Amino acid sequence: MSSNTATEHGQSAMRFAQFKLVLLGESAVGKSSIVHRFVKDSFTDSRESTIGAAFLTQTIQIDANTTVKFEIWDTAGQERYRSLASMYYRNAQAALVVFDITQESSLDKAKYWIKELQKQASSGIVIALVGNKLDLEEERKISKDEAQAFANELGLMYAEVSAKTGEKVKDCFKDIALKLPLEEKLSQQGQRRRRTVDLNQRPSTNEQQCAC
Amino acid sequence: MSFQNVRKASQEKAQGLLLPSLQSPQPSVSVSSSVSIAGSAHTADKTTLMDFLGQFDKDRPEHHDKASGTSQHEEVEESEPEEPSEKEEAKIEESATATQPIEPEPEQSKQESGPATEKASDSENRPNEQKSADEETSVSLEHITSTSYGEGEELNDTSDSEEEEEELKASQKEELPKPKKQDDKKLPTDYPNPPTSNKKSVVFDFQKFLTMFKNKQCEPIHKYLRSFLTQFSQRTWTVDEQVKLIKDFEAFLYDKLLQYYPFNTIQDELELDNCKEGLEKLVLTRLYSQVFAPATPKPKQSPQQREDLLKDRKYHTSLKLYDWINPRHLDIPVSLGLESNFVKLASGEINKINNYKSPRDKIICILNCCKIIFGLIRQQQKMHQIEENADSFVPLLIYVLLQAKPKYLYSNLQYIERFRLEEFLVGETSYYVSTLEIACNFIIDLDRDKLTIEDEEFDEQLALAKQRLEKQKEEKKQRNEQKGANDILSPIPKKLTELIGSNSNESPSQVLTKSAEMMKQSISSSFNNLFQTSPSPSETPAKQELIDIKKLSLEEHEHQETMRKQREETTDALVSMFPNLDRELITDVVASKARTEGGGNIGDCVDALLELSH
Repeated sequence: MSSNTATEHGQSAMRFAQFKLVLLGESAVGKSSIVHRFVKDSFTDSRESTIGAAFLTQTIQIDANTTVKFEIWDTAGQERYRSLASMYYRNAQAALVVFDITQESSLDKAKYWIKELQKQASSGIVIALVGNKLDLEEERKISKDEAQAFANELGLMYAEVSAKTGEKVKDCFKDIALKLPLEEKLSQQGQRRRRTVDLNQRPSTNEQQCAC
Repeated sequence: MSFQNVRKASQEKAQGLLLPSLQSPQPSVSVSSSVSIAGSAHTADKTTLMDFLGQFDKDRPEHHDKASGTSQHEEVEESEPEEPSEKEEAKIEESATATQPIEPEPEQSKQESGPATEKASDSENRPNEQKSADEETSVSLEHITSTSYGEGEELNDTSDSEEEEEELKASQKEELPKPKKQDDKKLPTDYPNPPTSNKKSVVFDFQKFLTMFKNKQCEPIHKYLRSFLTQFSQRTWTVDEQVKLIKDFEAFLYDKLLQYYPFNTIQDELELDNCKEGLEKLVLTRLYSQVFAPATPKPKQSPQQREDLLKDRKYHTSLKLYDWINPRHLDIPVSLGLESNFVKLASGEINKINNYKSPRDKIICILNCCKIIFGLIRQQQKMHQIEENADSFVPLLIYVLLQAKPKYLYSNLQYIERFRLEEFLVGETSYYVSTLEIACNFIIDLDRDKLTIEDEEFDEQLALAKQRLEKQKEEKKQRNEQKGANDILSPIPKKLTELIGSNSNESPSQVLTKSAEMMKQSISSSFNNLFQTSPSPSETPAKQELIDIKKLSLEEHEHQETMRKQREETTDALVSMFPNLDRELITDVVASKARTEGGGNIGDCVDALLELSH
């Protein structure tokens, strides 16, 4: 198997890895706003999606020669689609579970998604619990300590951001990128699965006509 | 080994090994060849493959028998040696034209054979030419010589439950041949092109692929293809086996293809993708009636396919029970006025899904539908404070499905998931296919709790819908009973009249395609004669070519005409959607999009007009 050429060529080569990230959370917590902010604000040229903004991609540079591309899968947050969301988890390497720091119930919903992810998503998935609406600090209903403690307990990343002002949004994605199994992904990508095929002669076997 | 040698060896093999009993009916060990597909070393795969190999063995016909004539069925078929590549060519031609779902004709597969008595260990016999370091799996694609396209007697198999029968007949007799009616814009050569992105991309050009593929130099490839198709049709595979077989074969054929002119001259990555696309379409179009559950004749359905159809049935029932749902029930903050045109347009796109056979073409119907829905969201964004995201998209998609009622959506999605080349089912495409799966599953499991509705209203609406459904079922049953009686009398003549007689409004090429397909599937010996009108099958490439070219140009003309009609219809729809824009302007946009995208992508037109209307 040819291993990743980037690593072989050492420092000078650019390393590039792509990851799938699912976006989960109740409807009004502003999960897609976070992503839209991330996609628009980043310095790398943002790639418009072809169909619509429910699926977006954005690249982020995590060091001088490493670029990570996120494929961001938005999910419908309404209760009625809950049971169907597992279809989106397939092969996701990261999940952003968003709640609204001014909405007490939204953390409960977030907890539900996290449980779901831990049950159904691939085991190595990087999960970040993200409190949105940091700009509405005065209306905060969920303390940072409480949410942080919950995240720590389950071994999740925790961040608080403001999609409105853009505060900490990019940092959040960068932190996720740093936690992703980059090397593993790079070597996977390096192995271009090329299947070769053999044609050979085979002796014939006996055919037995079916009695029916 | 040098390229030349490889090529020579493969040619020899193709000519010498793949078709020996066609050319010389000797009881020969070289009748079958096997194809091994190598990849990384996964032991798990190996196990499944060995199982699979065994199954292949099971069905390998005894060639000694064939040659000595103990197998009557085969003897008949063998009595006229054929020149497969030419026949293949004719069929390739058909594939190009067979974008319409064509009513499946049951196949006569009387060659169910007994269990394998031995498993050939093929690694020793493998010619070193293709030995690869990382072999993992080997699939035997050994060749057998007779096609088993049957006469359709199994259609009248009455062993199964009445209900199922009814459902199947409904699917085969009524629904599949119909799309032509609702969508007569569709032409054989017409296949959709995706919404454009700013990525570098080429428009998929199947015609170009076929032109290359038909090259005489590719003859060995035609033989591989034919050999595979024949082998594949010999029995009913499980879905997993089908997937493995087809994917392995596609990979195999792609590698082979690149060894032959003109494919060996391709340098461009995108052109190579075009070849992969072309192969996928070619293979799956030809196998459609075996791998797409609703098109598979009942006797040949695998358990998994039956399950798919069961889901389809649930889905169809839901569509009927909940046809009264309005946007409010799904909390869609969009009022229906002008927007209903978007819904209509999106419905039209998704409903084309059954007009196409290749996974790619089906996917494009999905993407176009999604794109139009986003057009609606964008248009409504300001007025209704909705955002362009999954929260607003998914309910609208469900609503569009409830309006459009695309048939066999579940089976279509399964088919796409199974048979679309993995490397193409990624990113955005994968996202929207998954989202459609979510919408489809939502509809399948739809109940009161999933809607925003008062109990009273729900009960009332559901009761009414149930009444309608009962009535329909009753009518259908009666129709089928009559039909069933006719079928038992004479299935084939009826087919003929159905295909040729009643479809007099079809274009000549459509009738030609259909009847050709029918011939292929039902009367294999006549078929041979049909495409071998000349006494010596192998010596009239020019003649055949001429026929091909004529056929092509006819299709091309039809295609142009259809595209023009289609553009007119699109323009009409768009004019009603954007009343503030000039008709002339819209016509211009449609025309320019049609030129640039090769297919007149409707999503792009909507995009452009949305921009203009702001």
